[in-house]
Amino acid sequence: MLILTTNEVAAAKITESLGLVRGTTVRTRHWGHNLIAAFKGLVGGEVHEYTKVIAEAREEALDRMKAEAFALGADAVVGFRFATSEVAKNCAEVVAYGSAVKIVRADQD
Amino acid sequence: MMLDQDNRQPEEPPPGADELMAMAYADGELGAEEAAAFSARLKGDPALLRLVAEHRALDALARQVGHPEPAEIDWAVLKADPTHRGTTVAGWVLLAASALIGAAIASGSFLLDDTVPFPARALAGAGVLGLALLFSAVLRRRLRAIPLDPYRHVQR
Repeated sequence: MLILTTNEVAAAKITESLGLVRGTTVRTRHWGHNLIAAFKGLVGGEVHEYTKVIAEAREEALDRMKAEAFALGADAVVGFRFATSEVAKNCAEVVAYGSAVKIVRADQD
Repeated sequence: MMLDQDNRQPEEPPPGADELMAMAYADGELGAEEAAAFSARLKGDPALLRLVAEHRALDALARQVGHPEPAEIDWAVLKADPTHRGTTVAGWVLLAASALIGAAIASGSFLLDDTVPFPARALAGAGVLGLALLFSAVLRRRLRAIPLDPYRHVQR
């Protein structure tokens, strides 16, 4: 499935808008990782423990959004965005959202 | 697919001793004495100096277009370092042992303390037991869900 941050699809025409699709998740890592991350905060550098939890949350939210778009029969999601926030200490909330659309090739119209 | 032998590019000649030294010097791979001797040579050899400058420029270019951080294999090597692994494992074992033993001693001494009224000890014991049960339920659920979690291998 095509996921685009743009509102249009190059070389294609949007024939139907199917509405908002979104995927949400909140993930955290276990206490041990948070402890190591706290120590890394003292010495600097990348905190892999948090990089990983954000990456996990990003992929999970994206897959949930794609599943919703797929269930609607969409060909693409346009205007795609990620949003993040922290709902609890050391938890990563990621929302992936966009507009599900049906498209046809511009030269087929 | 047949190769067109006539159109093959001629192979580059292998680098000479001076070029290898220039590459090592540009990459900072020479020892202190070797580097000092090579620096002295550079002062009287403009061609060698140009070679070093070219390799330094290549290095700067590679840093601009290359991956901005160590490759996965480098991270893996750092993580597998015996000292890192040893101190990490020892740290966790000591921490876990002290936490478990400390919690057991504190709970035992409080629950068996006759100077504390029985209802207070019963309430505290029930609270600790409740927390332990809740934690074990969450832990059990997580352990069963780990194999079903496709995102746990996502690294970045």
